[in-house]
Amino acid sequence: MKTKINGFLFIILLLLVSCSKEIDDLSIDAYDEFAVRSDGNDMLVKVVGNTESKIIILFVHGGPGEGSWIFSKYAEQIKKKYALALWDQANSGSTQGNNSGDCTVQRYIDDLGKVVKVLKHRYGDEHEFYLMGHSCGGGFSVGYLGTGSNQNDFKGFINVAGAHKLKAVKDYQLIELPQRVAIEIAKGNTAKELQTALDFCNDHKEIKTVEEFSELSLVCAGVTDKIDSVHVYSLIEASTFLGDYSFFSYLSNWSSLWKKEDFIREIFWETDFTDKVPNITIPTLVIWGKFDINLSKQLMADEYMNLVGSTDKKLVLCEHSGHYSFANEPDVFFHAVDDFIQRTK
Amino acid sequence: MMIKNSIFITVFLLFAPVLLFSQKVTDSFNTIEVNTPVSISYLGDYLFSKPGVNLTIENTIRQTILTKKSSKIVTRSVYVPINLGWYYHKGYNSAIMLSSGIGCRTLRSTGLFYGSALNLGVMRTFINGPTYVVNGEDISTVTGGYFYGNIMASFETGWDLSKCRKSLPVSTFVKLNALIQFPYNSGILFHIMPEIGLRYAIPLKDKTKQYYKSKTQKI
Repeated sequence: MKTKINGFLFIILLLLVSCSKEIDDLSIDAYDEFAVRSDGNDMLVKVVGNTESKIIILFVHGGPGEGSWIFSKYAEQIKKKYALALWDQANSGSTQGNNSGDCTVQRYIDDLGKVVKVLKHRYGDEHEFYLMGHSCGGGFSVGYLGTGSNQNDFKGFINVAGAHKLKAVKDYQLIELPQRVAIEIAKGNTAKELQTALDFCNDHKEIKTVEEFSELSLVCAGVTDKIDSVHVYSLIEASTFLGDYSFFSYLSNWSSLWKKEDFIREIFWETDFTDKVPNITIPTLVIWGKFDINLSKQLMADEYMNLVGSTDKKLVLCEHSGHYSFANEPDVFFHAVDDFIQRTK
Repeated sequence: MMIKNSIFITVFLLFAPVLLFSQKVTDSFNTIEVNTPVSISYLGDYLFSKPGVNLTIENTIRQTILTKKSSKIVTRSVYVPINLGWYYHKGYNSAIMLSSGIGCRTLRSTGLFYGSALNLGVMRTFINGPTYVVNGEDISTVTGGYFYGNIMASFETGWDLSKCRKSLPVSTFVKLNALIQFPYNSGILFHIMPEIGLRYAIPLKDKTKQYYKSKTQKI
């Protein structure tokens, strides 16, 4: 009899151990760091903020190679109410290894799947998950959600200026930039960046190289900064260098990744997830900056809204934002996210 | 395979100075009392913001004593250091570093000294939390972090307190280390690691070539 009881207890214990989550201590100010290994890289993931809410927003940063630090810097309000899972993709941000592995779009999408699995393993099923993708990371998120049953892991998708049609980004920039510059000049804006932008557009009717694309993106960002209506935000401060985040790792990864021409060309010359967009049926919130020149709202967001399969979908336009609406207007951004989660959780 | 080769080459180069200079020592003809400095210091990665510690032992291989006309004595030393360091960077990683190389130091009669060193070494990083490996539906954990090579250039200044009190064979020093970690993904990673510490000169009998120089005469 005693042996039977012991055996029963052992089985119960085994079940408890095998099914249980790893994180039991929830907090309103949680900090949890771990890594997910991917082909020679240990990708860092930090879960910060209010885990007591039992809602975790997984952030997929843009770039590629940008890291999650910019979003984290401007997400204090979100952290107070919800938990944020800040993931640095392979060869990005604080992610580290002595071998970069093969860089392909499919690898980055597969890595997202690995991070989702580990998050669910670590936090258990009683947490609800939302996916938030920005810019290029928004494109990767669409590629992931629109495949198989991946979207079933999430209560909703927050698309922040995400490029589902990545191969069109440079072409849309070449259309949007001169239009925006013409509007600004007509308004009396005399910033020299506007003329530089016009000169660039006149000299480049088509973007053929990674270098030209990189320069065009910088020109777009430069013009955005000179638009009076766009709220200014600061990126580099003392805390940027001395805080928890390894800024030097970010710089190293960013410069190395953009030297991988085959990967950059695969993303911005070949990748198009337009066919995946109708597959997404979970509630969707799209947040876009009105003055986003890097990724035009008219050309990208409107197409996304028309194609997405979700019946519960909403577009929030940030009136004083460029490509980084969470940094330009953190209050507006937070309220849009909060309303969406409260409605759909 | 390339990584294995580069780590082998790094380890070989790491101990090459020790092998090289130990040969020279046995050739020496002067046997004199030379101290073996051992130092402990606070090592702060990224301008002191990330805490760490460094232990160094130095093997002095050559000392030149210059006597100036003003009868002030300047001592120049060439040494082979072996450094063992550790740092912790919350939100990033921790690391153990082992390096060796060559350094030189000039000590003035006032006790002020300054110098520089170049070190080559290996380091092993560790992820601060668990590292997961996902294979299909299986999730397991491994020891996170990797081996890297490193090159470190150091510039130091400090004060030899034994010049004030003979019975106190201790120096205080500050050092600025610029370290390059490689290969970091597909690039390199810079570290700026200042150090502040104490150096204790253990009196050991050593075989070291020592030269006495003055403006006019070499003894």
